[in-house]
Amino acid sequence: MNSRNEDILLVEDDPADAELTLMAIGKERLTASIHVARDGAEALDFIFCRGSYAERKFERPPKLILLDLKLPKVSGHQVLRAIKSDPRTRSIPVVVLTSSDQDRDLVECYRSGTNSYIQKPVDLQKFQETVRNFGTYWLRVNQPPPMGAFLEPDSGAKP
Amino acid sequence: MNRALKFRRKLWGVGTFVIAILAFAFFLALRSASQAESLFDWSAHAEEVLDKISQARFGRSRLMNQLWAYRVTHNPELPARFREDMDNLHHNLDALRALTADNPKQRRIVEELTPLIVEQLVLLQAAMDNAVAGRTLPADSSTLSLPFQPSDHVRDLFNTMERDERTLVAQRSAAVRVNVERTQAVLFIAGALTALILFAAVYLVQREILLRAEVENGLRRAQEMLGIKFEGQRTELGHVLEDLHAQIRARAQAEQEVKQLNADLGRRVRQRTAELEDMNRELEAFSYSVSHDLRAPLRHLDGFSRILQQTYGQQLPEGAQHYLERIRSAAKHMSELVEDLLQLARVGRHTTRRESQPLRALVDEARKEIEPECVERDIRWEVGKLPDLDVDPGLFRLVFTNLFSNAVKFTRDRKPAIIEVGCFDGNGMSVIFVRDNGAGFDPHHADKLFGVFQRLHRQDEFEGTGIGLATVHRIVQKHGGRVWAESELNQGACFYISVPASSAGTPDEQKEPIGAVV
Repeated sequence: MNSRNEDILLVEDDPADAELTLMAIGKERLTASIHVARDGAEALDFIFCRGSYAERKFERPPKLILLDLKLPKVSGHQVLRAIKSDPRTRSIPVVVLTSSDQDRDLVECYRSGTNSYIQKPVDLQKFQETVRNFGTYWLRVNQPPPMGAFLEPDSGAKP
Repeated sequence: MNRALKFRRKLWGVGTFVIAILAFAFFLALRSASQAESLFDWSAHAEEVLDKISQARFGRSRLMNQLWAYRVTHNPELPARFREDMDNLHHNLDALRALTADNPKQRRIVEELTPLIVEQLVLLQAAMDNAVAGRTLPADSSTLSLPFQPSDHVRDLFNTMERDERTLVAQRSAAVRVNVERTQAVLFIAGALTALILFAAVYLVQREILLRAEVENGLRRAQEMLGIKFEGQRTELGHVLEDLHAQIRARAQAEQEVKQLNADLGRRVRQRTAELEDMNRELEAFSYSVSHDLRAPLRHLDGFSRILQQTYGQQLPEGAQHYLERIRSAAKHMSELVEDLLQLARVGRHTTRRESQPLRALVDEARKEIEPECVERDIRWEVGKLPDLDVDPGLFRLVFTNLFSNAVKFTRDRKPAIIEVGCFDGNGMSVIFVRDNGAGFDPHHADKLFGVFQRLHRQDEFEGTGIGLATVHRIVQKHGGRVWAESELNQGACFYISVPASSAGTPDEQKEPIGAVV
């Protein structure tokens, strides 16, 4: 397995939040293969294999993207729209993981096509449970599409 | 008009009458004149007849005289003269006969007279002829004179004729006189009548003129009076018009002012709306920011203190553990405050959606929501019959969640805790109540019950944020209802919510300050 093609992309600008999330994931022993992007621009470079991530391969996308909404440079909403409007990246599961429970964020995210929306619980124990639930589901229960299925130019027509 | 017509007709009648009389008089005069003319003709005729008679008489005498003269003188001129006179006499007789042709009596006399005269004339002629021839005539003078002497008969005849003719002339003259007199009388009467009628006509006309003048006078007076009145009314009308103009001007000005005010008002409303929109945007940005940014540090506080406890708990002294616990509970409380404030803000922004809702369903959902708080508790729920109401389901569920949560919290020490939910009608409003047998509150501080951050219990007695009832208050207010509470310390509490029984209530209406009723 190529070490540059991680299972989880965590997009989080707050180091404390990132640490708590990583700790929760590590504690559940879901995967050791996590990449943390510190802002929306870095996340897009990573996902679309460009800039400092140019050597990455589209054929091995992350199995899961955990996306915060309030991000420097490029917002989580913009990142989500970019992922879900490109046929090559559309099938990557995105879980919005945010402090906000505002209706307009919910509506905006689901309109853009998020796969899930989770408000980070304040209680660490509850957070731990939540991470275990969605991590288990997306990394172990859910079956991703065959490798490279959406990389053809006309693959956009397919669902 | 009618009178004038009548008058004209009368005038016409009089005129026609006068003309008829004059025509009649003229006709009579004409006839009389023509009669007079014929009478004059007749008179002339009679004179002529008389003249011829006398000529005939003297002509014979002249012939006799010429004969005697010749016999004596033998003047050669005399026979010629004799012959000439003889012819004249014959002519005279012819003329007389012609003249008397129209008078049978005279005619008869002439017829009788003519042969007698002619016989004498023949004798005279013969005598003259003899004289001229120088024949001696018998000396018988009687023979000589006899034929020349006019007989008495002839003399009588002539006299009769003359007399008759003169009588005739006299008669005709009398007739002419009578005629003239009659004509004069007729003319006089006609003149008198005409004059009379003309007088009458003049009188009539004069009367008419007077009448008309009077009427005209009356009319003029009336016109003058009308004129004065009209002038007065015109002046009055002028004043009225001026008033009207003034009013119109005033109204136009007022309208202008109203327009100006409206424009100002519109501008101010727009300005104010824009300001309010700005404020709303700021508030929204604020609560969005709170939602995002305030929670994260709390989460970190809780998270890391817990990790510290879990990882290094056994190595920490008991005091340190206690402080960690304090940090965590503070973070939790702060988190609850943030949650409740966000909820209150959300209620404020929320546009109420009114639809008929079975209250019972909302109550059940709210109970399910607070189930975690009821764990290991002995709570007896007594939910009565609940109607359908026109309310926003999401907001009203929140009302029940808050009220039930409070009831559960404040009955913590009761075994069993009794929570009663019911509804009754009052003044066209549906009044819903939630009663508990919990700690209750001091009614003296009831006015603080529904204010934000206002609490009637110490945090170490009953934890809370002091926002829940403010949220309830806000929601009920948005439905056009009101909320109040009754309680005594340690006697339980009862919260009342009134909402319009129908959807007729006005939402967002500012009601009187809500306080507790004891």
